[in-house]
Amino acid sequence: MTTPPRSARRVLLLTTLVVLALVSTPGAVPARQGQEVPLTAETLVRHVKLALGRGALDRARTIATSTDAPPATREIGVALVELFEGKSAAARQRLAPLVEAGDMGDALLELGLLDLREGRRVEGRRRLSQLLQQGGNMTPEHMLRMARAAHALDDIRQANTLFQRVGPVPLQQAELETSWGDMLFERYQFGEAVRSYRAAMEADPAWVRAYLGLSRAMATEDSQAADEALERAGTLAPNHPDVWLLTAERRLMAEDRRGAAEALDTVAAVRPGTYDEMALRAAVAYAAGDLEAAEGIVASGVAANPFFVRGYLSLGTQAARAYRFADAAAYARKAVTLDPDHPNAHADLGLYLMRTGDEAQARQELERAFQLDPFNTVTFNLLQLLDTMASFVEFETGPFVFKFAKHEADVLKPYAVPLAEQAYTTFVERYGLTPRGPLLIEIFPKHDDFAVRTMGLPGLEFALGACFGRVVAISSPSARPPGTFSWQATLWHEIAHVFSLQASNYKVPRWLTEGISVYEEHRFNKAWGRENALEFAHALSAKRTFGVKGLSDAFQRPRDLGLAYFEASLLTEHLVALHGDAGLRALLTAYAGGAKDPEAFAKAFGKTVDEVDTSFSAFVDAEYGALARAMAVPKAAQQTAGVTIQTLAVLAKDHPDSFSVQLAYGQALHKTGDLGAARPALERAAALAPMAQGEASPRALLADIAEQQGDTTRAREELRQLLTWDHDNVVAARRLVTLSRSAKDNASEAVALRVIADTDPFDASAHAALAQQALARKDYAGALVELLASLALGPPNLAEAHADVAEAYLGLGRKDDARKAALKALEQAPTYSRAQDLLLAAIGGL
Amino acid sequence: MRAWCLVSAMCLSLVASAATAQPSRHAVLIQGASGEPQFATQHRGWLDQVASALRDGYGIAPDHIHVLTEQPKDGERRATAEEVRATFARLASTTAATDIVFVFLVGHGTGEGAAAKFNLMGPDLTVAEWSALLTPIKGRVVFVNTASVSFPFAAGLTGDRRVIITSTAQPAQRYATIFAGSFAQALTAPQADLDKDGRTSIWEAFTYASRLQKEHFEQKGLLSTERALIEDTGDGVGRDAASVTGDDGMLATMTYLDAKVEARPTDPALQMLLQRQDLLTQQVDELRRKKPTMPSTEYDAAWEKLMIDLATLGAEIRKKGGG
Repeated sequence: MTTPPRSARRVLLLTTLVVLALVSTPGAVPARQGQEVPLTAETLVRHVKLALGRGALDRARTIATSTDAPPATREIGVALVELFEGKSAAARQRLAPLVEAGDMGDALLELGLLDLREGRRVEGRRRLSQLLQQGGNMTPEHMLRMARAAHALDDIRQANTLFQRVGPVPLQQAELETSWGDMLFERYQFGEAVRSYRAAMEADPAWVRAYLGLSRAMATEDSQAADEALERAGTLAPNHPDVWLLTAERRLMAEDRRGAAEALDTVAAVRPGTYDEMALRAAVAYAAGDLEAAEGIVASGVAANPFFVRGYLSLGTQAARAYRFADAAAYARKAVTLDPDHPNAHADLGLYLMRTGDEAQARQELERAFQLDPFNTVTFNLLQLLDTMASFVEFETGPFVFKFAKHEADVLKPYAVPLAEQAYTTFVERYGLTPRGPLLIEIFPKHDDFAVRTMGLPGLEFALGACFGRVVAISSPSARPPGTFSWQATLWHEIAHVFSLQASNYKVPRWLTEGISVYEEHRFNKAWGRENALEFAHALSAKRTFGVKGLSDAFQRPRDLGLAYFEASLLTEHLVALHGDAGLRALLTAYAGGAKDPEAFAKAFGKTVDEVDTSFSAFVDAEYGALARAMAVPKAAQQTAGVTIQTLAVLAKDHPDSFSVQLAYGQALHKTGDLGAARPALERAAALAPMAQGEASPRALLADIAEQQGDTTRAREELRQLLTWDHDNVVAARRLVTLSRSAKDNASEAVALRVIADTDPFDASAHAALAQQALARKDYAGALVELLASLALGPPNLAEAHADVAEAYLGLGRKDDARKAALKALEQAPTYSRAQDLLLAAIGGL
Repeated sequence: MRAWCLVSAMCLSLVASAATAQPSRHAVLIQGASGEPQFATQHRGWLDQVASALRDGYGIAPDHIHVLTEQPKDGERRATAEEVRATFARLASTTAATDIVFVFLVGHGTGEGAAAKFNLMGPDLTVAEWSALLTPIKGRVVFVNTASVSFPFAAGLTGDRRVIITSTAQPAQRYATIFAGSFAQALTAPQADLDKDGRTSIWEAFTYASRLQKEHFEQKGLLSTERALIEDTGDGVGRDAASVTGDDGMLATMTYLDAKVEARPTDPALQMLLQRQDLLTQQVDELRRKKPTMPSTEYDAAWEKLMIDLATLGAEIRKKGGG
């Protein structure tokens, strides 16, 4: 008997869960739950649960205490209310006698769950197992209890089966769907979880936990929807402690420690002393830099509950949020020590170790996590990724360890390595820091692999690269269509993060680390990091920029991220202009010491935030004021529907300094074929905003007009101008290559080929052509780089390529390599006279 | 294995051309109904490129190049079924068995299987009708259909001494194609001459054009909607350029659209050198055949010695004005 390979087992298990989850998704609209089931002794407990689920604490208490139900039923009802209020001891006192007296239903379930929450693992497991082992009459209500018990016991397969089989449960449909959704959410099955939460909302539009679950499950994909769901929950139940727990989490993520603490105070007012609150209070203390307090809070929790793993996991999450992955791993390790059988502790530790670059140890932890919980999507994804990466080519040089996909290594290495080394040298000097290494740089040909490396899940469409301090992960240029991004700018950007993170001891605020990275892109290549210049100028004209004080908040809003990155880079540029690189270093040092913006500005520059804001505003006006005025859309031009060319002509005449008007007029004329008239409008637009990019930009259209009019010299010039800013526009670059070749304009061709090879290094023809140019100017080293890349990709003509390599080697004096390359050329074409001559030259016979 | 086949085929070609008279070469270039102005311009441009390459680069006599287009210029005919029939009828009566007839279609196609058509001005011709037009042609036929839905032409036109090239490899590939442009480029690109013998065979042109076709989609980050096929074994099943299996391509390897330039030196010394070069070239083939059974070090040493000998000889020949 053979054991299937590890990966195959994982696939099997995950597939099973996915299938179960898919099957389990409610096919029929669940019954609405409400008051249609009368309140009787038999339904009392369910009515209490219903009221609590809606956050109606008083009503739940009234139901639990004011009926003629049997004492045992009332006791359960009251215990449920007490559990909601965090009065665990009181609830235990009510539930324990009922269980001892033989209750095999709600009392047994709630007591078992309470045991687990309080670290009484043996008793809790025993009770819940007992509940699960019952036979007899399987009512939907009891199956739901069993499903919850199985979930608590981490028997996910059984829990899923039970959730699936429960069917309609009067008064508890929303409870069923929410509990099921929670289980799926915990395993990162967000899509399925969302379906469950929506089903719960369908069953009971007032079910608070459904909105909270939905908010959590939507947070990554649609933060606005997530915020709305939380807001809705707060409207339904303003004092519900779970609403405030999630609010605290959100405030913490937004670096609003005070808001988080206040939210936790509200939790405590209704439900004091829970472990949930404790875990978050520890995270708040960590965020405030008070590690002693943070660890003290967790230690007190551990003293009460030896399995209080959540405390350390919460600290780990917060540390990771602050890019302190070594700290995060240390906390996760403490969690593992507390409970070696806790799957999430191992999973978190594995994830953090990956981010510190310790992939070998990470694999061990993830394997263990997978053994304990084979249904955790993140664990599964990370292990799959590690399997994929096992075939990557590893290359160590200087401070770096590079990892390339095998089929891309020969192409990317000659480009990535020198660029990274240049970045490193530049930043070491600029930031006066030799970062802790080695620095691991991983380049993923599949975007989803990059996303999994970064977040554990596929997606992350808005990101191209990530830096974890010592680990940089980026998407390969092959991961997206050519011309949609510059992987080199991404690499430069992420390496800059290494320095700002380490120089600040990982305490740099996000606005500054991103600002520095974008600014560093621009410093290296004036077109990089300026992709959002027009959007910024437009926002400036509409007074929608953020200013120094608004930048941090802007980074919390996905819709504002593009502008926030850009404005942060401008702020960095301004600070450097005023205070030099030394000032920037001083600022990072201030953050390293724990300072926040006001104190850091004071320490580094002797200025208040307001003063910096004022000077920054003046800087922005000076640098972008004219562009902003050009980007402002005149009132008369704001109505665009049904506008005729005649109207545009009048507008263009009235608004010669409006980019949008001039461009719209030029585009319209170009579309109608009136090229002569289009040109002045487009020239005006290009003068107003030289950095405009894309196919419909003034420069692109001017090039097209020139080409149509047979003026290829002008067309080439326009395309060159366009590429000055539109640095990854391979379409324009390829057009320029064609035009340049026809005109034998080697200089323009070289510019265009450089853009293509840099942006789309998998274009063998571009490398081959660059190599020819390099050979022609006897730049043999440069030629060799391009030739080896071309050979790795499969050149158009193998014999020619090997002969070119031989020539380059000969030029470099590497005769033996030249001989071998010439023989390879002759292997393809034995009568190839050029290769024959090169062979003779290499062996000294010519 | 492929390399061995190519070299062997090349030798066969050399022997054949040395023993027989140069074949006469003819071309029929047809631009079908374009449908839209953008295609009209594009297709016409590609057709002109091919015509110019055949005339200027491959030396085909202008009166052997028959051009049928959507909007004929002087000396051209309208691309109707009637004119197509007439053109092929004339060719059937004038071509010899040793001749080469190159047919190049650019435009759009419709239909499926045997009912597939190339769109002409007015009524179209089906695959079967095209096949009937080719039957009386005595010479070797190279038929390049670069239109969409050209795939059925591989099976429909296959036959003895025919090379059929289609721009698509599946019935589902029905979008407008760019292979015509790729093929036009391949006819003139020096890089298409893979074995660097100074001539571009149909196989080399097909290989290079296929590469350009593939790159076109890769560079745009698009899924490819066309993949060219070649069929020349007579079984109607073609192969693409990247495929490592299949015998198609052998006939194409031996088929050239240009006339071979025969070196006929009068200098006896040069004649001897050229004879020796032929012998060495034969040894290259023999050594390659033995490669699978030889230890690699032994093969490498023998190969290097042979290449040095051939290179030295080549230099000497060029010095004496030969080659």
